[in-house]
Amino acid sequence: MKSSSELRKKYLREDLMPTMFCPGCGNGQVLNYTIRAIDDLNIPQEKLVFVSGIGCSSRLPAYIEADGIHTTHGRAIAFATGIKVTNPDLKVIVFTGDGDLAAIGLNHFLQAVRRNIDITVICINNETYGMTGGQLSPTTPVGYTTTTSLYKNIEFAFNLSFLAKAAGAIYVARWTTAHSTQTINSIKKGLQKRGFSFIEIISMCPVNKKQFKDPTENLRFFLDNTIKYSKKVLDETSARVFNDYNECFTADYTGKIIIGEITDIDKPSFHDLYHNLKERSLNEFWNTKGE
Amino acid sequence: MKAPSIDEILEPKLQFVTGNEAIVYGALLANCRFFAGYPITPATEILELMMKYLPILEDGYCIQMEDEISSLAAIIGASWNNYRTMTATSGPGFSLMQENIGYACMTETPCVIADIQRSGPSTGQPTKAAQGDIMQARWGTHGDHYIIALYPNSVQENLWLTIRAFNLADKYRVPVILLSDAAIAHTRERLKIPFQKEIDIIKRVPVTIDKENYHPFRTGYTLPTKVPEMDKFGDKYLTYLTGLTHDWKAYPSTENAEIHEQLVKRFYEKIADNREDIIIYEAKYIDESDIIVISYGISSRTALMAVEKARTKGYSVGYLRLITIWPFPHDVVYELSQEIKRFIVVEMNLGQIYHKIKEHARGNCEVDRLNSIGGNIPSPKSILNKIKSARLSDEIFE
Amino acid sequence: MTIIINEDLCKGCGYCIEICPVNYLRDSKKINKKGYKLPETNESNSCTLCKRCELLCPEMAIDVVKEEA
Repeated sequence: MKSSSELRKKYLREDLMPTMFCPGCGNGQVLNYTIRAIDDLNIPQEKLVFVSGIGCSSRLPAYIEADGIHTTHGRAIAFATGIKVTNPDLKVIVFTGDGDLAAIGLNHFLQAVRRNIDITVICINNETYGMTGGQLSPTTPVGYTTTTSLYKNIEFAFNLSFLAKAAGAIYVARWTTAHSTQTINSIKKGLQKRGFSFIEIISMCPVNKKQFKDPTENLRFFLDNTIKYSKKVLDETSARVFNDYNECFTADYTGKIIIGEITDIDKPSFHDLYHNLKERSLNEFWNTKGE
Repeated sequence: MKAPSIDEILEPKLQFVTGNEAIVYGALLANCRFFAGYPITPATEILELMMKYLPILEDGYCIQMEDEISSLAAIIGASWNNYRTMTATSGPGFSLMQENIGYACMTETPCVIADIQRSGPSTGQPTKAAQGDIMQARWGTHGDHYIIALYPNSVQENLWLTIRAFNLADKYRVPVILLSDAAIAHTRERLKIPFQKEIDIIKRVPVTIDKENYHPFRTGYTLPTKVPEMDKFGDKYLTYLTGLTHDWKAYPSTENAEIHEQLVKRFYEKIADNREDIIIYEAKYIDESDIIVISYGISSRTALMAVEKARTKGYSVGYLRLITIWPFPHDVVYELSQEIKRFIVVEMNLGQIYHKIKEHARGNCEVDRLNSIGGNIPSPKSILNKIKSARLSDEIFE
Repeated sequence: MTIIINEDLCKGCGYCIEICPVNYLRDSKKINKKGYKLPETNESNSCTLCKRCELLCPEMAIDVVKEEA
């Protein structure tokens, strides 16, 4: 395992350090894992392109010494589609958050999954809109109190990983920021798969989410309250396993977080199929030209 | 199988085609090799033709995206792979694209956005021509920014102005709006298609500095211009782009008013300093005219007919057609205002360029309007009556 | 083993202290230039080189170095 200072020197824009993230923020941990994953795979830095939307997690590309594009809210995956299709040799990694991906960007996310564009999307899901102060997001568990759900959240939460799987993603994994080695391995796997890989990392927002006293409590919660994905938890639409939804409104109910590799299949990527499309188009063109 | 050359695809060299087809031919001749779009009347044919031709060309890609927002996002992303990229839409889609147009302005990404205008607002009259997006092309996106907008008025001009749009986009690193309307888009006219070697391609300012000293938004290194050198993804120069206010190193610098001012003013200056190069217009019979009819796009064609008819009847009237709509040729308007008695601004909206003419005439002469909406192109007869009549229009729509 | 903590980068989140399986790290009561509380190692010399602290640090501020005897 390479040392942190060696990796920082190679991959990070050190004149921008320390990062803008709050103490204990999961974004910094995901940065740590991503750097280690790309270093382990020996991906040349010139071939990396980081794309992000808007939010705290989307600030990550600025810190990495590589081509990066910090785009508009929710549209990162659309930009990434244009970048990857016109230069398939690039390794395109999208950093996004739960609000950016699952609210405003949900359509672009599902469409890119459907097309099987060969990008790796790392969604840092802290179940809130962190940058703007802690509003509810499509992944905020039901019953939670946030600045826009003062009387407890009555909307059920998405399970983004299951959504990705249902839309046809070829690699989906779900971990928390406390699961360092698993996350690094999933990122590595996702980068090597030919097609849409989705790595969802449940994170925390130490400043805006008031459920825990301090970040280490949240870390401890991630370590102690997860349940490994298996066929038995198949029917859950929510990100967490509850016994009874009604309890969410009366007790401080938090449920167990589902983690694990949700799916790992193979399917022709958009580029593979487009390559065949180009052959067919040329055939047709020269055939009609001959007439 | 070998990919054909553009000349082999665009055969024969003399065709009878619609305005939309001419835009596609112009784009392909200009080396556009990536198009992302969404079907919308009356621009759908552009997407369909691009889907047909781009896969045949070497390195050509075309995707039908899920909406207009992602279409523009995809072409901005692809532009950073050193591709010439384009999308095409109409009013409702153009409204959706505004946020990303601002993003292209802020990151100085070249791209061409065709807006084939139709009657609005909202769903409006999808198959009828209008000129209601003129102000939106300039000010649709929020904040201080500058764009270039061109508006051809014939099928032949569609082809040449599309090529010009790509050249201006690359030269000034700005999104260029190519305006058209449902009438020209679906009208068939004679099109003479040039050979690829007859086309002038203006390239982006390349990065020539060494890697250690490279910063994405440094200007003046390779050429004495306010346009920064443009890198592409995947090479040794590492470029960070952001929609946040940034300094010349591309680092976000939102706390510094001076950096913001310098950045945004440079967006204006790189275009404003080069008005002579960018602005084109057509002027006929303006010497010694008392009245000048100003128009653009489809309505300029009937305006010219009216002007020529009026002249045969002895009226001292001239014709000015705006081809570059933005930046607006205010100096031309100001100069003319000092020598004539009246402008008549003919538009298919309730007065958009009218206000700019009024502003720059500075009270030197009268400014009159002839508006026609609902899909009716202003008839030569109505324009002729306007020329003859001494009474100004009274209602003004702000 | 030595745990080197970059004092300029540390934000005092406490993850390294929490995650260490042998409780080698603790709060030092020292504060860095930005006002964050820095961790320190205790006298026990119990580090097993597991590197969980280095992996989990959000600032990549920890280097776990094997010191030669």
